[in-house]
Amino acid sequence: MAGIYIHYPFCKSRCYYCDFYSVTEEKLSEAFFQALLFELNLRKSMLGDAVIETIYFGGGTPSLLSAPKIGLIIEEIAKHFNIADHAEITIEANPDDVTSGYARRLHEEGVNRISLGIQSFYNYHLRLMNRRHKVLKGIKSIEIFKSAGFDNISIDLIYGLPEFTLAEWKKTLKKAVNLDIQHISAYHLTYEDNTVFSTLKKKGLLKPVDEELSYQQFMLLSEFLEANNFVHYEISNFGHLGRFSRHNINYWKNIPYLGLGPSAHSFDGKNRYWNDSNISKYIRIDKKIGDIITKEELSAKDFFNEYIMTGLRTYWGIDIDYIKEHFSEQQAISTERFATPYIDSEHIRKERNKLILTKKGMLISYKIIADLFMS
Amino acid sequence: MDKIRNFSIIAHIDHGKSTLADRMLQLTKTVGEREYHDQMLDDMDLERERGITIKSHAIQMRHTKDGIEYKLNLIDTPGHVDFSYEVSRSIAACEGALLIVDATQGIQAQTISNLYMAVEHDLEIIPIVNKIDLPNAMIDEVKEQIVDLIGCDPDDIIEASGKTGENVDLILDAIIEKVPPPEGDEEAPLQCLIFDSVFNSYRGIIAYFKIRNGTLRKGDKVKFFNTGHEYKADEIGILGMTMKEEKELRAGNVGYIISGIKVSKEVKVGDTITHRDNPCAKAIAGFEEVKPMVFAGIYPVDADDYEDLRASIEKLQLNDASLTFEAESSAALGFGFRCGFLGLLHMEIIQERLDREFDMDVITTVPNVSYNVYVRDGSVMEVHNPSGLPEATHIDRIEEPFIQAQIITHADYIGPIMKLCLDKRGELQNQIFLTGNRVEITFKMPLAEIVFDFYDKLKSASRGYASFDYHTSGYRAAKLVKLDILLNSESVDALSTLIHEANAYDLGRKMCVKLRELIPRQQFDVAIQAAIGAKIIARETVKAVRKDVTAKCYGGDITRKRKLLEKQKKGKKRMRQVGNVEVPQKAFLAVLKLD
Repeated sequence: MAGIYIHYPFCKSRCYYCDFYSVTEEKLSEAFFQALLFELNLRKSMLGDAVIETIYFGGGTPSLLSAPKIGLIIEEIAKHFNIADHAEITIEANPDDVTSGYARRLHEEGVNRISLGIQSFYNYHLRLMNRRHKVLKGIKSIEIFKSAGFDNISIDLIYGLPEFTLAEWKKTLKKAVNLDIQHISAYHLTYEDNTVFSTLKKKGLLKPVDEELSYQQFMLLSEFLEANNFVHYEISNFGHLGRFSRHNINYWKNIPYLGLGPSAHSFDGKNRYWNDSNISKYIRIDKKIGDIITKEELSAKDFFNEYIMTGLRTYWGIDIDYIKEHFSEQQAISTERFATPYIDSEHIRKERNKLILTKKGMLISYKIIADLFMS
Repeated sequence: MDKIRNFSIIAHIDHGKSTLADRMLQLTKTVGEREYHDQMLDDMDLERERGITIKSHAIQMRHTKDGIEYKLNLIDTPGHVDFSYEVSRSIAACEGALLIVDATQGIQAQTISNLYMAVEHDLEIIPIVNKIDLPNAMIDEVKEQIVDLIGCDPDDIIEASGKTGENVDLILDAIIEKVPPPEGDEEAPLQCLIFDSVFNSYRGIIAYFKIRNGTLRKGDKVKFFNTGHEYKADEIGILGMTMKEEKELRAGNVGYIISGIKVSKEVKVGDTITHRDNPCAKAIAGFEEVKPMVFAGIYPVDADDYEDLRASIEKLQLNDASLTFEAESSAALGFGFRCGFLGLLHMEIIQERLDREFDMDVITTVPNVSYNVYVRDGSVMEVHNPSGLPEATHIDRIEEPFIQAQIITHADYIGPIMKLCLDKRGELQNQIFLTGNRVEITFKMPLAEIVFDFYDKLKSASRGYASFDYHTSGYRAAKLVKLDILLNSESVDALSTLIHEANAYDLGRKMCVKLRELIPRQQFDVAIQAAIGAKIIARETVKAVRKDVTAKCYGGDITRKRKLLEKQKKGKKRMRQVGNVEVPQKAFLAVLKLD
């Protein structure tokens, strides 16, 4: 079992909160496309003969890629790998790029899951974030994908924006639920380095929301969506049963994945690799692929810490027996010891041998995860 | 004996004592060109860096005057108030002293107190104005200060420069001319004054002494008067740049003895060495048991290092008998040691040596002085640890140590310094104008008050233009209370202090505020309270953290996030668990740094 991630690094414009690698020089797109196929051929051996369970087109704005190109990429993957019968093939889409023709073609090319960058149902928010689309276009794009036959649609929402009220958030969530979609990724705004937002914050022009309001928004999010048939299966992810993001879940379960494109990360079961975040270098990769890849072998400690980090973020939690079996008895004991104060303060719930973050715990997951790390 | 001169040097820190000593060593060819380095006598790195002498040293130089060769024994003394007893013993071993005053600085408080000590022992004083090569030297003004102080003739003051070596030969001549040779009877029963000891890992403890009377021979059976221990003089000799073995040493000489002593505590500075079989009738006067004045807990940062810490402190004690320690444990800090120090500098030195020489990371708790607690049943207890204080109902009264503090400063700073001393419960004793605008102020004040932050405050009140010296001066009744700090209702023993009632509220409030800044937010509210007994006198709250970064964690985020959180975890290692609260180690020192 394995996954493939394709990073399409072009955007028409940069969103102010986003720190993913992207560039606006779309003219390099064709060269990128060629380099991508080249990289796939060069690196396919990393996954051996694993069956491809998921393919994910992320970015950047992969919906700027034409449907035939998407098809060609899938075809190329199919040449080298066995793609599972019910593989999940996702593309991130910007509402502005969505037409019914495009949606239909994507469906025909085998794409079966859509992740739509809706972000907000308030135009002033979208403007604040420098999003291209407007609210109505967002809603419309969902309808288009549904009509084209998609039954696995996810939308992204952002909360915790400056001056974003609890009432606005409640309306946003109601709207989202009424759109009859299957999955929601809801992210609290974070001020990542080298983004416009972080600069504005440093200059005092953007004021982060009050912690208490963040808390209330998160609680509302979780409780409201749970009451509407969504499972809160990861800190920022909610889905109908059977409609969770399989691609993302595999990241958290140490399933190998091959990441193609500039800035993409890969994992072969033992090592993590990442490509340079540099499009001009990328389109010149030819045979010296090694020049753009950094490799890091994971130690037992790294594996443990990643298990804690990714496990605790999900509603499956971490398993003490698993730690005993894969790490050590001692490690299992110390993990439980570090968890105890959080169990007492109801930030962690213990279910048989599992430790699972409560809602309250999810909100301070950084602190808890760091505490449970192996030092 | 009339070819021997024993002398010490009285100087304030930085007045150029070590440099001048270096020049004398070079001029007398005691040290060859090739072995020479700066501050020859200060062999600890710490001494060289801080420019202070921590241990006493002795060195013999040979100098010829008018065709006669003389042996000049320089006994170098520690340069800080914490070591005033050691200084007094070194002075007692000499017949003369060089009074060195920096031509740019003038006379400082410590110079005066050591000078008084020398005068008390009838030492011949040779006044020297040093650093005359500096452009801002105020030679005449400083000479005037010296004349005022010791009443000498201005022409008797030697103008010298350790840096250029100017007139250092005159100093050597003056030592021979003016310092009287030692007196003593070579035939009388042996009487040697121990003025220091050092530890050598091969030879054990080496004691330095001056022979007052009698003759000491290699192999003699000797007795240490005050400890009563008996030894064989395995090796004796004189101190050049290295030890030089001798068959016998006669009265007036300065030398060393190696007698298989393993424990530094057996060699007490000020003790008298005599012969076992033909002992002297009386010990040399002035012996005192050195008593630590300041106490603090020292704990390993990493609990696993407890045994290493013990071994390190034991090793330090070999070299430094004035350091005392006993095991203690703290609910907050685990296992550690209660250590006694001569003063704050001594404490700092020990901490620094633990760090440098033994690579030990330690937490030091709030220092306390030693109190005499009179219990209702009539007994007296010495209490130097807040946890050792008996129940309030059992206490009749408590007495605290007082000091006589001398401060020399510019007249401009009298106001702020007065205020500082009065705030510290000081009582003004005396105020004398020295020369020009220099003033000597004498205060009686509780030792406990200078243990906290006195030096820093004095420095800022005087912009650095104040020198300070003190001597202990008895005990006085004090209204002391034990101030406890509670975190989420749990008392943190390592943060308890004994403090004068009048200061308790203020300190309690400040500590709470400081701790609120230092204790990171946790997953629950942390109540910080200061209490006297059951009475809460101050409170602050560290609000619970409700939210940290959540966001996303996909394929590309995993490595970066893991590393970020691992960093966070590392920071946590420096935390101590008190009940359910995590306290950073620096919080335990917070009370030392209140404004």
